Amino acid sequence: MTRAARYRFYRDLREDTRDLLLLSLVDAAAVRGTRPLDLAPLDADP
Amino acid sequence: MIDPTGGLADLGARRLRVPDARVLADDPLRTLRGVRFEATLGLRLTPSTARAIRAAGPALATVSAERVRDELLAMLALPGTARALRRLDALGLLGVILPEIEPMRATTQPAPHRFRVLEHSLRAVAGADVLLPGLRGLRPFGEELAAHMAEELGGDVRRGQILKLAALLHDVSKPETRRVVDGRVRFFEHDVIGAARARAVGERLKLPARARGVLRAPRPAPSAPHAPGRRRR
Repeated sequence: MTRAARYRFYRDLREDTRDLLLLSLVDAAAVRGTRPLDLAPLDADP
Repeated sequence: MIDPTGGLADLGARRLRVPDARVLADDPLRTLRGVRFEATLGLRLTPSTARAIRAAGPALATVSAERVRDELLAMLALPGTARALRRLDALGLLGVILPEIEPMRATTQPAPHRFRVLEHSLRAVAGADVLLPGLRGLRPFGEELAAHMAEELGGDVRRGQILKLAALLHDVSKPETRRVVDGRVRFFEHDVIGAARARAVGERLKLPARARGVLRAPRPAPSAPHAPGRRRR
């Protein structure tokens, strides 16, 4: 999954983008049981 | 003060106790309320009360959807929602108000998942418990995200509450879609079917229309943005 594909996925969600971003974050953290903000800082990418 | 049931002593000991199990049979919603009081008032259910709640739990199915909804929403508004949901589950109540979660309990997932579906989902709710209060600190969009999550969706329901419910239900259809194909565990279309299941939950609980709109879209991303290399599930 490229960064561009990820960008397009979230862009195309339109009004659902923010909800799905946060849901994805807690989902990804729960895969291994980490805390969501330990995955990576949200502002890591330019 | 007349205190025939020993309420003052219970309060002093931070105990939550029903003096007679019939009060739970009279109104089974009190089982949910007991868990909420435990979570919000720093009390602890006595063992006999916990047993009475467990026994009365199935009768929750006879309580109106609106009353169950209001108690569930109150728990979704807590800073420790996941802990309250785990307590509900330990007392046998979670599966009564959300029977959709029962098949999630035993459903395993392949690596990199470490947990079965229900445990994973409760951990996602715990993640939301951590994430939501800290949104403002996230640069550069923290203020916007915090305001977004605080938005009222109708009936005094906040978006953040629905995000937690969506976290609990985001893999709700994995049990029914689980297949082993060429030795690999797959969950084809679980996102689409799961959205339908979540929508049905929202309708059953008579959530406000905008809240149902948020809940109907618990589609997981094809690859979470913070987990590079994660495979599509």
